[in-house]
Amino acid sequence: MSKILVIDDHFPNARLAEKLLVKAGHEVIIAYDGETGLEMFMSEKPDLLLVDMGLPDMDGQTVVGLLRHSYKIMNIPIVAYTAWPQEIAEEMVESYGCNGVILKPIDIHTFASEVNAYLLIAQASV
Amino acid sequence: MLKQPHYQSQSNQAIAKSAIHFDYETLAQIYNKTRTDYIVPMPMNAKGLIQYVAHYDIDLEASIVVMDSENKPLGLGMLGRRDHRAWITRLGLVPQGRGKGLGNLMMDTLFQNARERGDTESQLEVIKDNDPAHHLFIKYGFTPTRELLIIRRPINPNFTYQPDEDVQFTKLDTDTIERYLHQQRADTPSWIEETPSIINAGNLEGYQMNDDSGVSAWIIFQNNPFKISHIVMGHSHDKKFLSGRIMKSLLSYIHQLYPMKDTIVENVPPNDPSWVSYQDLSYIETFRRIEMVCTL
Repeated sequence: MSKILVIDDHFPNARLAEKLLVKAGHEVIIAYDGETGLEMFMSEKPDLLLVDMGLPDMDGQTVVGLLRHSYKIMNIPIVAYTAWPQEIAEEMVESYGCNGVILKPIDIHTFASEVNAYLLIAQASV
Repeated sequence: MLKQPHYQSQSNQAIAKSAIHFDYETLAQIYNKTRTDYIVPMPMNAKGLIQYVAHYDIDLEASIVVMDSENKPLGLGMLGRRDHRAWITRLGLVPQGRGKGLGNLMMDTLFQNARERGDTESQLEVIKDNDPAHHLFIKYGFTPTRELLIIRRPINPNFTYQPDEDVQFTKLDTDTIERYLHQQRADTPSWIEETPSIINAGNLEGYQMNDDSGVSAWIIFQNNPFKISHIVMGHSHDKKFLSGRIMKSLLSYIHQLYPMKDTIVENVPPNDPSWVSYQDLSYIETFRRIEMVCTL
């Protein structure tokens, strides 16, 4: 079981992600804005961060940039979770230092296994 | 000040009510509901909306919330107003409010509100590929004027810049920043990058660059805790376009000062000479808007 932090201001999306990941055996914590997400990241020490790129205070890119570069968090996978068009999402993800992207709307049949894959890659690289 | 505090109109049992009757928390919630399935999701909280209204001269009295017969909000449309120009922004309907002709109610009401207040021209930006909105605006007489890029530059802690030996940078004081911004600018800014928007936004910082060949150029930007935005560059004494080399030096200087800040620049025309310099500094295009105008 892994601890996963979901940062998403959209309540139904966050709860759907939580439901699917809990069903897959994970513990899920949710933050509904970027500032709370950063605080929870530091206090809860999750194994993976799933971050929406469009947040109402600081956006997802800023959250990722702060974690990667200001706080030097390099060993925890950060997965962008976004409705941006795929090409833009992939370019942003690479530029901002995410490990990958899951596009919204999420596929309920594959979502948990996609997240699991990022966890496995991170565990294998330790 | 108009005697009527708000405008109301009826269509399909929906009414358009002045946004002045709603608190910012409620307006932000309505706005976010209109964007739940949007091409580029841009959620906003009450604090962000307060800043948006202040920075872009949004007239809340002339802005509207569309409500159904049970007083449930179906949509939001805001109107910024400057110099007899009206800027339509944050326009959107919640998913269950679409396909009912409410876009027409919103546009009719916003147009009427603008005309009643003496505005003679309207402008807006629509995200490229948002075809339903684009068609609505064409129907109301808007014509596209140009495409605009929204570009970003991620944090880069390893970025370094060493100016040439004959180049000096000096920090601008507040008065000089305002004086330069009020000069006739070499660029043709969109509403959100116009000088009033930038002055309203505050937290401005600026630097002047001089070299032995007589170059005197400046860069002004909004410096927020995590982010740089609203970048404007110009010559100190005239409105000539800056060369790519000078723009690259100005940008390099501020990114060397603040390597840990994300940067967002909105509404850069793709044919603007600065776009090449931005790309040289690792800016990436995130999405495009189309600017449109019409006579009221």
